[in-house]
Amino acid sequence: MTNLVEQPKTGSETPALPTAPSLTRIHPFKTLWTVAERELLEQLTGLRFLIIAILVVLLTPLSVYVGSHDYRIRMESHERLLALTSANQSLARGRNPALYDQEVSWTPYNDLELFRVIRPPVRFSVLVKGLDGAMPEYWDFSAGGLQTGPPASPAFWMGDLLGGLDVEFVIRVVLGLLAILIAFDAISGEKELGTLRLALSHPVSRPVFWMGKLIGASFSLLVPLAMTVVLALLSAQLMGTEVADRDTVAKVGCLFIVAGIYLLSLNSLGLFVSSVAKTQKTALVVLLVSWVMLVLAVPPLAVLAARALSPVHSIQWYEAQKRSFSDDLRTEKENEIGRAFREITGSQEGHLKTSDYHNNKEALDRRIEEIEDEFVDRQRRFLNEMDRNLERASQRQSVVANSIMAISPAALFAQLATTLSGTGDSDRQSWIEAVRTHQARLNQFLFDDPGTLTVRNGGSSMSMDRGVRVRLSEVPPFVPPVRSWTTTLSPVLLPAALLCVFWSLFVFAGLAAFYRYDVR
Amino acid sequence: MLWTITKKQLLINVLSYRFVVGFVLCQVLFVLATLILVNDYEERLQAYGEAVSREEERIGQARVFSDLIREPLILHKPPAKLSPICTGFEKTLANEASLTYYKVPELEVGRQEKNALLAALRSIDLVTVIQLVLGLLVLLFAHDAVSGERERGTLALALSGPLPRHTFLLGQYLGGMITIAAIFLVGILLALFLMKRSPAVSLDHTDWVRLGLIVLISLVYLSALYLLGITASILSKRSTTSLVVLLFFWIVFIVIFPNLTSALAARLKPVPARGVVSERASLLRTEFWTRVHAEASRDLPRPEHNFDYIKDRRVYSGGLAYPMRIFYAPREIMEWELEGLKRFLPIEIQYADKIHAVHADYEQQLGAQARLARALARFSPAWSYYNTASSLAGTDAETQLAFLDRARRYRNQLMDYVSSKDGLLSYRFFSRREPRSFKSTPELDLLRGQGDRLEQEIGQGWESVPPLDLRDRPPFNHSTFRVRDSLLNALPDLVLLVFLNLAFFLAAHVCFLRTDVRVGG
Repeated sequence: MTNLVEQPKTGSETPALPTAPSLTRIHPFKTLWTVAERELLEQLTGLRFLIIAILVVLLTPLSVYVGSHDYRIRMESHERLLALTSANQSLARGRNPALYDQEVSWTPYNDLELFRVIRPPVRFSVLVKGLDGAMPEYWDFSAGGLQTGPPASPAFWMGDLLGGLDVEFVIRVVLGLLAILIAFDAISGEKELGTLRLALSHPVSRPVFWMGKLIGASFSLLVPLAMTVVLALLSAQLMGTEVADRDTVAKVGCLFIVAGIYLLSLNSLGLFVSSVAKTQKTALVVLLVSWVMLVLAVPPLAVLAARALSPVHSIQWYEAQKRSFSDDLRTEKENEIGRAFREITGSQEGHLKTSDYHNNKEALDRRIEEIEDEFVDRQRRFLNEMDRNLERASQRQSVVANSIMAISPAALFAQLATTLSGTGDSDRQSWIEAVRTHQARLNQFLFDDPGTLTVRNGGSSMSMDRGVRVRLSEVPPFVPPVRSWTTTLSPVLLPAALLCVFWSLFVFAGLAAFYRYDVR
Repeated sequence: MLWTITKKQLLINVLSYRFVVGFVLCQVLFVLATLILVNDYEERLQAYGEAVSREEERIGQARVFSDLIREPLILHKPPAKLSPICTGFEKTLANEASLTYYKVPELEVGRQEKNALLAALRSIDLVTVIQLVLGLLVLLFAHDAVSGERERGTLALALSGPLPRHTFLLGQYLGGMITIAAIFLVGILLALFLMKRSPAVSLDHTDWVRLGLIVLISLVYLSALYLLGITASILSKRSTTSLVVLLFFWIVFIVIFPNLTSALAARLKPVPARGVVSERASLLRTEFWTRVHAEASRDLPRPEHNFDYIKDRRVYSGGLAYPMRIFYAPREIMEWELEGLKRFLPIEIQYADKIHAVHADYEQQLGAQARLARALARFSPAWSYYNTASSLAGTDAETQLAFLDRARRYRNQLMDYVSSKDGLLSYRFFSRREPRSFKSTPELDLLRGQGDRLEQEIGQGWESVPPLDLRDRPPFNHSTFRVRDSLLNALPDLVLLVFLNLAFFLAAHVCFLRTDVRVGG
């Protein structure tokens, strides 16, 4: 304790002047903690906190109920689909017991379901639904290419039109609102009450005061966040979903951290606006408008804007292109085979006799195989290019949408939460990749050899079953996408970094603004 | 007196910060949303046109009657002209229905967007912007209509003169509503202008009537919200409290409510999983094919034949008498195929009806659940409004289901047409040859040694035969609801909203009569 009042050095015994306690320096951390504690207590006992707490207590179990109900339905459907597919396979086996171990005549009319790949629902979608409901339930593979099944949870009712109520929604919207409501009158409200002037007349420096407010508000946000997470886990357990395994706990931990950063960034935004606005009403209006824009409006608008700025042709357009190309190519191929037919059998233009084919079967088959290979190659190249174009265009659009969405911390949080849960866009991409690879493998193994041959010779045409043989037990199995820490972390790093940038930006801006704030 | 108060409130509003911000925000959102939605509508309309002409072309190439009713015939529903205004269920339920003689059209979900991100987020349309953003703006204006005046001290001053309280209240209300209506109408006019500019959009007078009704109901909705806001403003001591309370209600009624009602409806009227239905349908089809195989192998063995005498024969399965298309075959084969057709086709149609019964049952339960959810949603003025707008725009679930109904009726019409042309249970189902011209195998053996005679007899192939003239087949018309039907559908919600207006006004009036007008009161 430094004595700030210098005593004149005299010999006489003069009574020492009492040192003014207010002039002694107190350690800044103690002040910080005092301010923070005061802020924390004030928030926790306020009306806003109570209202939001009630909302959280009501909504979290409800959202977990909706999520687990939906998950149960998808799980049942999934299991039923699995049973149906294996039943179909065993039925096919029953019809022809040798199906799996012997060669079978493959024609395009064979049962598609033999090659179906069924996607299991993600358990964590009970808490964070993400894209799990919108992604297809299964994919079928055929000579005509990949066929996507219906979405796992088709949105039939208006509730689903909103993107669904889940824990991520509660955190993003309701707790986000709390973050704003706590902050808007932190500075401007105190100014209007007159307490700001009083507080700053003490030996409390402005940055310490502001940081104290920030820390207090942050803790008062982390309390309901923890409440939400714990309540969500409890509800999930009570409603029959297993949450006690390591994987789930790790995911919940990450979710908590990410949600914490999100809420703190919103809070610091609020504090910044409060340190700039003259009245708390102005601060509130500005913050509310920002909240509506950032949390509700920016994500869908970003998607729509991306559509306008970086348009992608509709799937129908791509399919029409593929169809017309395939039709033209097929006619060309049939004519080419007709020409070979004429060459080898010596028939004239316009004459086609089945007996001619059988007489020259060996030579014809060899030539036809060459022609088939060439045309299959051409078709595959074209189809691949179309698919690649579509993927590239979609990617571009996604990138544009994500870039626009990056201005909203709420959108960033949504991206992070879904990626960490295994229901995000990166998971969708990895499924699509796995499924495409499988189609390519099946093409090579089976589909490139068609079962029905059509020959065109002038105005005459002839269709025959070529009896292409294949062993179904040798069909290459599907390799599902693997989720490892590396595949999860890379899409997470950028949005997380951006959120931290937002947070620090608002903190610095708020501090700077508060330095110049008129406290009268 | 009333006009003075109104004018004053109007001026206060218009000259405030939030009016400018709100006005600009709303117009930007309206313009953006309209541009993108009209673009999307144009694309969908084009896709519809292409799909219809593709189908026409395919049917124009039909050589035998099985080409018409065995290959799936796809019926398309054009996108609703007012769908940029309110998208409703347009994209979630499929806009096409496929039918064959063995399949009755069933309810299908919409085609998945390539970008699944789009599918997961809420689709934005103009009614959504009005419901959410304008709704919030209304609350923002209303929350300090009375409490703000009270805090500034001007309320006590105003009421100290010969100004009856109800006149003051009415004036506040009118002033606020005119402000909101101005923002709203400018936005709507901009949107309509952008819509009309597009060459693909052509609105007839029924559409204009519907639009007018949507504008009307929007104003009624916004008015109800405003009155609610005023009531909250009267009841609370500080305007920030009223704003927080109003926000709470806004979140609950607009954002949380639909999930609640869906969950409740699902609980009260559960529906079996879709998988159960597909499974039952699949089992029925398996039952049919097992039966056909058993009966065919027992009663209809394939006669001996020479491959050389058969041209372009497409059937369900090599050894089965159930033809799709046969260009040429000897008499014995043709007669055998016809027997199989006459025997198995009616059975397959019966099974189609059985499978349809399973689907219809499921759809009925879905419909009951949806109706319950919609009834429960009436508790929220925001969703009551959305559902009504959706009905008026022709994008609600009922319209989609009506299309499905019409598709089913069309299937029956088409089957009757084919029967009338003797194309269903006869040779004309799968062949163009006259039965009298069939030759048996011995007769064909004779022709064999006579040079070209066999080839001439068999013929060149399907291209040498002209397509069937099917221009007299019944047309499919996909007319939408009449305006009167839409209005009747929307009437309960409209009445409810008007009633809410009156109730809130009454509440505001009663509360205002008793309220303390002093500062800090």
